[in-house]
Amino acid sequence: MKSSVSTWSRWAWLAGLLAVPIIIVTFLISLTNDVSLIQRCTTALILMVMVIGLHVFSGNSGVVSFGSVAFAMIAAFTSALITIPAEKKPSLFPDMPNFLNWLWSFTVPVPLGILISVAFTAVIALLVGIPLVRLSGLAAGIGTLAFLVVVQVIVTKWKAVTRGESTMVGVPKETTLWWALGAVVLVIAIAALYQVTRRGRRLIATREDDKAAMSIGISIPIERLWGWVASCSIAGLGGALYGHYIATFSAQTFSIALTFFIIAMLVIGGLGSLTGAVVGVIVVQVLAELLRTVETQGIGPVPQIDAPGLTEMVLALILLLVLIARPAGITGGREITSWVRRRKGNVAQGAT
Amino acid sequence: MDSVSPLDVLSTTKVCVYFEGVKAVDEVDLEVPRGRITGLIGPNGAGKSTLFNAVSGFVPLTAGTVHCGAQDISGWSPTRIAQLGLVRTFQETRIFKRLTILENVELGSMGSGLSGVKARKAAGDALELLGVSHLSDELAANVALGDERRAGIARAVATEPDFLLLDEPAAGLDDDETAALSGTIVAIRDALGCGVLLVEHDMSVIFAICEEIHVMDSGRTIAVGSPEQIRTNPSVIEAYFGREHS
Repeated sequence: MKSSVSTWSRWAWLAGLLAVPIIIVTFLISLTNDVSLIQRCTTALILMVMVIGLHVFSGNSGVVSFGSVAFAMIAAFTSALITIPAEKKPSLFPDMPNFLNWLWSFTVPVPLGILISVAFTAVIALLVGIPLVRLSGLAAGIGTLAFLVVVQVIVTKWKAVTRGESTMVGVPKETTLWWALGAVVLVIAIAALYQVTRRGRRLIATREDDKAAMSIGISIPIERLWGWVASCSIAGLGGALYGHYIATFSAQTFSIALTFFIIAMLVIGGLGSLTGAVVGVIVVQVLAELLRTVETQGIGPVPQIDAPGLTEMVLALILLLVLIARPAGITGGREITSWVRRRKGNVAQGAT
Repeated sequence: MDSVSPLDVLSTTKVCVYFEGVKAVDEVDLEVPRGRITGLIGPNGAGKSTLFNAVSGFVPLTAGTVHCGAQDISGWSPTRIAQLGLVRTFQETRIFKRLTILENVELGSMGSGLSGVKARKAAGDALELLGVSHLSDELAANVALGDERRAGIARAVATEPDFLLLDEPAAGLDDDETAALSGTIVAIRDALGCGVLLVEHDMSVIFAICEEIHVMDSGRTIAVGSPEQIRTNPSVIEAYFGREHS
């Protein structure tokens, strides 16, 4: 039998080809000492964590979720609550309900806070996922959107714990460019591993043909639930990092607008491939930065165009054009390894 | 092979499937012993596909029971039925087009719960058995229909089923491919020792390899017997051959 490339080498190729260029570019950006550029790069990396998180479920299962930002929000608030210095808590949360008073007594270091918040997010994802993964298509979209709205309302109204519409303040600002880069490399490694090994491949099978998947003993709810919990946990990691990056935030930070922004990046890059998730974030972020620069000062021969909202409008136009001209996104839903394979013969075989 | 224990039989007992009053399958008793190839034939609309879907869990039973060995599997989900060892193929192949042939077949062995090395070996064996191992690294979307069909069967074979249900495996194949397929089905049965239920329009395949043939018409069983008995059965000729060859 013609031997196929082993699972490990497929994983290494996919993760490596995606992560190495990101590491190099981030390193180069850090050398510029341009504070604003480094900030924008950090934000882009954090967004990439969230988009990869969405890809793990939606990309591999073909079921669109509008709920991933809800998990980012849950993790950001959870990590904030346990990392804000204990001495600040009484003044920040004077009405903390009795059953949560234990939160006052301790503070954990930010890395541990992020870990705990990701674990908490995973538990919530498991509970919510059990009914949600049974939905498909439009019903799944509405179900996950409803969950986002529910979390939004709870976070906005539960003032005693979340400070409601006033922003969360006093959150340790510790996320750096390197933390964000580390998180991106980690989630690329996890997402690539997931989709070249049996769990992820079973989920991909349910996306490709649900009846055929069932006919060989693949359980659609179980595979979707694994993907969902992994996906929401990664979104949680992105949310917690974001919280510790901007340090002041509210429910409005994790809005439906952010949800659509993340989905747009995944769709523009190409729904169905990890490469698409990475490419989508880079393309959209670079475009958004260029447009913002045009809005504020102009670039080279392009004069400043003083039109607030230009960025959003042009981005929306690009999304429309991509959807019309290339519905499968820039990558066509294929992995970077499939291009390498085509060029170099059988050097690397891509996970689909 | 003469005496088969009831524990080694896939059987339906008075299975009925009604769609809004239409009796697609009406009180059908069917037995598929392990280690044997059973044909299921009948004119278009006879209810073969519906019975096939009902046995594999894709269509709910209106009445009756399906047993896989001693286990009553009536009302089970397709996934659970497949995990028990009753695996079907599809007429339209339903191959995972964006995956390679090897990945398709490995999903069969992984879906059935085999662990890493065993799953890979079962997939390799299935590809060899179906003669498509040279296409392992091809995307399923790029292979010819005959190869796609063989890969679809390999995917089911890789699950190492106790009972294999083949839905029109020769559809769209030319004469040479069909003849080769007949030999392959026998080889699968010999290799796995499984029971095969074969729905097929091509009578050359049915009469060449089936040890028993079950004939349906208008949702009901009209004859059961060996190929010789079926070939000469007047009601079969009337219902099936009479209509098709008139």
